[in-house]
Amino acid sequence: MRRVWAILVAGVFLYFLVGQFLPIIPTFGNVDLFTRVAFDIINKSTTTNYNAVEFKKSKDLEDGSANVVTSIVVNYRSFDTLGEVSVLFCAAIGVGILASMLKSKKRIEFEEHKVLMISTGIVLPLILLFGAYIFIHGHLSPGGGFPGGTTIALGILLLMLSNNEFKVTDVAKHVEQSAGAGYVVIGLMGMAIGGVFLINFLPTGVVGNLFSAGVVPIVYTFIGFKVGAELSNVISDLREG
Amino acid sequence: MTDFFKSLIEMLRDPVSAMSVLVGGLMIVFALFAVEAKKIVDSLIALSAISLLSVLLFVVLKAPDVAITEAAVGSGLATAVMLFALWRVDSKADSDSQQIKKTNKQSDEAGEKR
Amino acid sequence: MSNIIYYVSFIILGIGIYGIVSQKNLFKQLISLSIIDTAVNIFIVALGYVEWGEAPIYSAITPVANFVDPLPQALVLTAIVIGVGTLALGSILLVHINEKYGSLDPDEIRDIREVVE
Repeated sequence: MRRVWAILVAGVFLYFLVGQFLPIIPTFGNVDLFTRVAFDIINKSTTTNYNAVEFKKSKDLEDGSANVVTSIVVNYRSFDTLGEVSVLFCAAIGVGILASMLKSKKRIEFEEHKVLMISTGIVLPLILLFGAYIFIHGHLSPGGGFPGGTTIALGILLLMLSNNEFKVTDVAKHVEQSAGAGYVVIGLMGMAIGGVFLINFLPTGVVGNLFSAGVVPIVYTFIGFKVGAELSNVISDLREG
Repeated sequence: MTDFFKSLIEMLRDPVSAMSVLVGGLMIVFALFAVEAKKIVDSLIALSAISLLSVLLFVVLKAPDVAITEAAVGSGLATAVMLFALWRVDSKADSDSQQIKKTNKQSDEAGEKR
Repeated sequence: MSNIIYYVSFIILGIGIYGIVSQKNLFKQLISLSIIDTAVNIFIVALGYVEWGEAPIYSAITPVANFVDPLPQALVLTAIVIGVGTLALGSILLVHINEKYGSLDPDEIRDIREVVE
């Protein structure tokens, strides 16, 4: 009887989606970008006049990063990213508190394997280096702070799997709190210098260089450290009980 | 009849349509398996496979940022977190069908009698 | 018929809703919630696709702008990370529920609570 109700509910929902919603939106691919907000964001002209942006030639624009999605996430909608970072923070606090309240204090034990231990010694520095590369070059190539931090946390998970006595110490907690506070401090510095919270107050150089785009690489470095330490804490709390 | 097949092949020349038919069909099969599996570990592995297949769709839709984030987060971290939580759940609540639950209860009562 | 990717994401959404309503184990309901998250992310990114557009990054290959819409991609980036946060918190809550009531079946939990009260 439950399955009949489930099929009925899913069927009604799908009827309204496919029958009433799909005819209204434009067909797949036939989008005129001139009528959308993204046109101003791609040409970096939300407050200035329209001027075509070229790679390695345009200088001192209002944004300056070659990756347009990064410029949206860290520069134009930076407050939403602050909200996302705080949502992740609340989830990590919840996991930490609830995991220490369990009555059965079991610790998940892993079997040690010789091949895994030796190959982790070779691969782990490369994983951490790759994670740092992803969040340092967030404004030039795809990636950014969130996948960079997650890669670092997955490297720590590999270390946990290969070595049974490894514990994530208090260093991760201190890194997480100072990186999170650093993001807000940059926002307040923007308020002191430019008058608006989280404004880009450093000079934006040529589009495509490593040292360009103002505050964006610094913010992504802070987010990378914070997410990496946070997810390592979540995994360690779930393991130790 | 041949017109229908001709329009079908013409539609499949476009990379997004071809990829969405192949990968989308595989995702639908895995989603049905994840909902109807008997043990929960099987559902978890199907969920990880769905996340990994959606990365292919994101690459074809020209969204590399989203693809890298979903690959790192969806198939690496979410599966690890849920596996650790599943390990902590009692073994009696671990599977879904009535037969496996009955054999668990019988083996428990047999252990208590001794 | 070229918006077949919309149909694919709607079907996976329907399977996820079917999973939440019909399954009797709370862990399975959490997994179905994550399936719904993935399907909605695919749909939002597909809304911003422009035919013959390139990935929205200025590089040596695309020095001038001819891009797909980058705004839905920025929103989906946030949505993916929040989905994994929800999953982590939900699974640790399920561990607590199982420790207190002894099972992960919502009907059994309702019976135990009525007997206790």
